[in-house]
Amino acid sequence: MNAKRLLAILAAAAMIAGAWLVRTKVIDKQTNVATGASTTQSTSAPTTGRRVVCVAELDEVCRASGSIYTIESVSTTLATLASEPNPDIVWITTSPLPEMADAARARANQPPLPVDQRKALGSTTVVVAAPTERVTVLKAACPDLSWKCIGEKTNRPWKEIGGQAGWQDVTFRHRDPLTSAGGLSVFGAALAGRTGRTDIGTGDLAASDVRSWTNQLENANKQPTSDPLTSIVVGTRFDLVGALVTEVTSIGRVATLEPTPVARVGATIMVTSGTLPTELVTKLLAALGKNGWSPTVAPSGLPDAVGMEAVQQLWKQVISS
Amino acid sequence: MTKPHPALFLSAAVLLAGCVVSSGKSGTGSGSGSGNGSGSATTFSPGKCTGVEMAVSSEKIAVLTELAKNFNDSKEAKIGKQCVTVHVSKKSSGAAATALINGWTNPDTDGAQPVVWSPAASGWAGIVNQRAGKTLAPEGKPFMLTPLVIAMPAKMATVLGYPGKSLGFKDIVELANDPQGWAKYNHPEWGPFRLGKTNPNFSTSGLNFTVAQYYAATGKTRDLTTEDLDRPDVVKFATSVENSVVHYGDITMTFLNNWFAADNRGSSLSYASAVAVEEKSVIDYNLGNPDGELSAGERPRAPREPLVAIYPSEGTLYSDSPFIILNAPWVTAEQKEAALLFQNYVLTPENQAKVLTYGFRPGNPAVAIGSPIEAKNGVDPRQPSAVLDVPSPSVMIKVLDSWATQRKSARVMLVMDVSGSMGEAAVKDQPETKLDLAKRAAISALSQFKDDDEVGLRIFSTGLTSDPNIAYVDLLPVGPIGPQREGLRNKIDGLSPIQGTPLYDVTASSFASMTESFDPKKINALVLLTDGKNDDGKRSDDVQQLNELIQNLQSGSEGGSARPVRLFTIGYGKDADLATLRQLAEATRAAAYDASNPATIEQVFTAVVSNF
Repeated sequence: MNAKRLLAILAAAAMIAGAWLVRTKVIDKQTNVATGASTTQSTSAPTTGRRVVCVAELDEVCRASGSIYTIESVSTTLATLASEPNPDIVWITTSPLPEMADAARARANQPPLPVDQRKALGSTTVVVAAPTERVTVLKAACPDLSWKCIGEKTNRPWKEIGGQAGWQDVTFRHRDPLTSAGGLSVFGAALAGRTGRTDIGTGDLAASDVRSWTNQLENANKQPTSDPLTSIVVGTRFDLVGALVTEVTSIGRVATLEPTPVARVGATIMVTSGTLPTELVTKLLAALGKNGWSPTVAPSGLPDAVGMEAVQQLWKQVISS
Repeated sequence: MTKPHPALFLSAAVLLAGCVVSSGKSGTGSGSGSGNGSGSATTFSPGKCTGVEMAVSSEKIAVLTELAKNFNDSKEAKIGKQCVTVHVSKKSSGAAATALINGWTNPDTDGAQPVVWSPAASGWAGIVNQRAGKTLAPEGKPFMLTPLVIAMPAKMATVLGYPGKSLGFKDIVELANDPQGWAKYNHPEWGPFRLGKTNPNFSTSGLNFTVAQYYAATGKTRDLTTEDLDRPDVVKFATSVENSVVHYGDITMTFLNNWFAADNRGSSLSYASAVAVEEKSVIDYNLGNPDGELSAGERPRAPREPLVAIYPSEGTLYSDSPFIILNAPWVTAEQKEAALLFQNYVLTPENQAKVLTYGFRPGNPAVAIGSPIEAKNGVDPRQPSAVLDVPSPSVMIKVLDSWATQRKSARVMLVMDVSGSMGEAAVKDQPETKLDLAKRAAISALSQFKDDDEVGLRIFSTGLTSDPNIAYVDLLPVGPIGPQREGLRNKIDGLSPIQGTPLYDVTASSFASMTESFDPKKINALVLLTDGKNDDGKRSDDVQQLNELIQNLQSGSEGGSARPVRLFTIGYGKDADLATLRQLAEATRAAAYDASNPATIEQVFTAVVSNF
């Protein structure tokens, strides 16, 4: 076996290992997200008989808390909260999804949920992940690391911005903002960055320059695929991937950059009735720390609840065009 | 405060009945973002309570939804050990009237059969009763009021002398007739005077405005006669007003949403100079909620150019929102009793104060007018100073007949998708295809055009000819419909499905054709019906194509010297790309209509053609 062949085999093995790693960390969650199916994890008794629901991005945190919980698509939980008059749910999620649930309930004429039974648990940042050498090129092409600049570089040949011709076009991917908390955070951060405001509404996002920019940024997202983080490792068909930094840190061969303005996503817990389960909160705080979430830095740079609803409306238009 | 005449609109019903019926249908489309009258598809389950379904006109859906919610949770919703649950659905007045006349037989397209009906004005009840030949809709208790006004950007009104000078129809006519347009007032960038007005066969605002303009032409405030309407000076006056119309339409919300979108882009002054709306809509607009209903992601934000309400110096009419407990066969005595509880609840002073917060004047005179009906929101609680009498039924019929001949003519190109998917069954296991239903709807809608309207027919699909670059074929060029009505009918009837859907190509080329042959004396428009997404075989350039198309449509539709061709789109069937169609329509300040349920296509087509 010559050296070239050996290198090829090693590279292939590394890619398979990387793909497996991503699969265990991301795809399994995504499967649940996509189908809305339940995954129950248990190491201790349930919390006062209520249903504990986690977003996929907090799967490991919820698992580490030792609670019985269900991984559920964001859209499924929001639909439940909007339609059930008296839901009994503990939702471990990201901001501002609790406030989006409030808005959905108000439109559905459901009684309000208790806003004093919510707690911010920690935060993490939105990043763009990419194969290391491409991050280097992108940083050079967009020295300010702004979302606006990144969006303007997508859907164009890498060669135009200093990359290799063989890399083909710059593509950007993230998960579905309707079903995934991470996908919503990434897309929301991008639009907050592009518009320069977090109090966006559908009117702001209807502006033709914003619409054009979004269509360019999201061109790759119109084609169905498996989880985008996997693509970096196994293929690079989609070479820029928006994600939470806590999802990316353990994946090799990948570097990250924090687009500006930096967006911090909050982890939060809410209950729809009764009081917050203090024991669970304590365990979650500990688990978040172990999983790279910052316990002290407040969320920032993301659209508020109305803004995120506007972002979702825009997403529906983007993927249909 | 001036209260409306108690008999407001009752006599209008008779003549309107004929008109609504002659058009065959009422609007059910969905003007961009707002929805305009299709019944709610929500299934209402009252549980163990007595259920009261209520159909209301679109402008009051928010306030009544809130009142119903509060009522359902209150002790007032109890009769002994029984409980009452009210559910409110949006249904435009004209659409509800037609559904009632026809027995409300199709909940799939009309929404649930109502126990209570609250159209914008009492006159619609008369229409129903006259047409049905029985009293399905007895006299209802008006529970909130709002007068018809002419909404104008404050900047424009100020140029005309507002607020010091009393303005009215005469000022509109003068400006509409002046070839200089706004240049006369040193604002050539605003272009000609452009009026937004709804179709009086469908919309209460449109009807009230039409009546008021005839009154203005005669100088009367009561006793309008059929002879008055035939006077040459009256005809000239009315024609002048109509000639300044941007386009018509079935609901005012389409105008208001488009105006607001134009304002976002800084071009509201060249979209319209004035729109005939209810006072409440001016308040909503200025508070950043142009259609009065906040949807997901919509953030109220004050417009750059606020509106002011002009209460015509010649007088105006009120919309009185009657609470009508129906005498329909499906309404039980128990439901009537339950509905009465809700009516009493709505009329309590505290809930009348609630309707005030939504911008309506309370129907209960014990509750004083206050905020938000105040100057800072562009309205004047001391107005209107003159209220017009509702003309007799015979005069009302004559008003509508006259309007039908004096309304602004239209140049319309019907652009129909004949791609292969149009050959699929419209309803599962039924023999009729989507194209079959669309053809029937289009043919039916042709009757709404008057003889001097110009109409053409273009079909589009890939594979129309052996040349792969040809995406469309003109089956009939745009020309006066009078002599070619039958030919157009036959052409439509002969359509059959072919291949793909080159949506962007045909939209761009059709817009260019109509812009090139633009006639400033007419409403210039495209009606585009499609059941799919753009599919021209080259997906790679779709994004660029769409971006360029939207920019072309926008740039062609804005500015004082623009040649605005309005693109009205119909998303037909569940696979239609409604989001893109909405973007395309909004780019020309027109409206997108949702016919995702193929069974509604005839109603939707009728609503679309009400724009002309």
